[in-house]
Amino acid sequence: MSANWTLERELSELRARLARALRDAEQRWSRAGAARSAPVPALDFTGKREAFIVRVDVPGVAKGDIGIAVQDGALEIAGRVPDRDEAGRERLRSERLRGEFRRVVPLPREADLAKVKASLADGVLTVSIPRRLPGGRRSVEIG
Amino acid sequence: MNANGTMVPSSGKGGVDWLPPADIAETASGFEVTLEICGVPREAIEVGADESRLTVSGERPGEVEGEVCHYRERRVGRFGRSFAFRVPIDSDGIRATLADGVLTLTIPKRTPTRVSVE
Repeated sequence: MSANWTLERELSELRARLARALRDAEQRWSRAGAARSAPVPALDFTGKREAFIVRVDVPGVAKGDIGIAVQDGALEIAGRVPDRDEAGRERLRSERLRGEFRRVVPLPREADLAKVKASLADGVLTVSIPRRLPGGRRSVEIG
Repeated sequence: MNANGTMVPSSGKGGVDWLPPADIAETASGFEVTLEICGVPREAIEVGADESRLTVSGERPGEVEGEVCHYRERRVGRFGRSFAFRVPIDSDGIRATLADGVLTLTIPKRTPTRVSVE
């Protein structure tokens, strides 16, 4: 019975993860298909012993134009690359993408979503998510 | 390359790993080139110019020590772009500013020197 329950739980978790991955992929594809000009900021996901790190390139984006949310075990980063002022100038070349963006990063189970921290420097948004120790154990730092 | 003051992707032989996206605009007095180079420190950027060409190059630092990379989209390493202009530019008057990962270069057009006949 206990083995059954574990299996059940694992299956339901797997289903949830699959649903999330599909939703994330869908959003990414629909974004790519619908508006080719919408920016998809480049993103790195790394880890160190005590935390996971997400870095996103957000060129020219102000702190106030970025929103970070944690939901369903995933990190969502949304914002807007501002338009430029075209008064008195002729555009010769335009490669930089403007407008709204949204990236969703599913996080590992040991990510402590209650303690997410973010900073912005030189156009790079760095989000750090501490790792939780297994078994609900938490390390306490001596302050 | 077209007539409009354009890019020459300096790929291959220059040993360039990636090409930052750029915008070019023209005003009455000059050109404005903006490049997206997030996370590149000021001192890692080089700007060069002659009478018709602007070159920007540099390097973006790669891995952070003590971190294991699980997923990577951000380009690292050497970057470079070169832009040719259809009118002469004032290479001494170029101004460069870096803010929020965007490098903005203001390039004045060269005003022809007038020689008065005595």
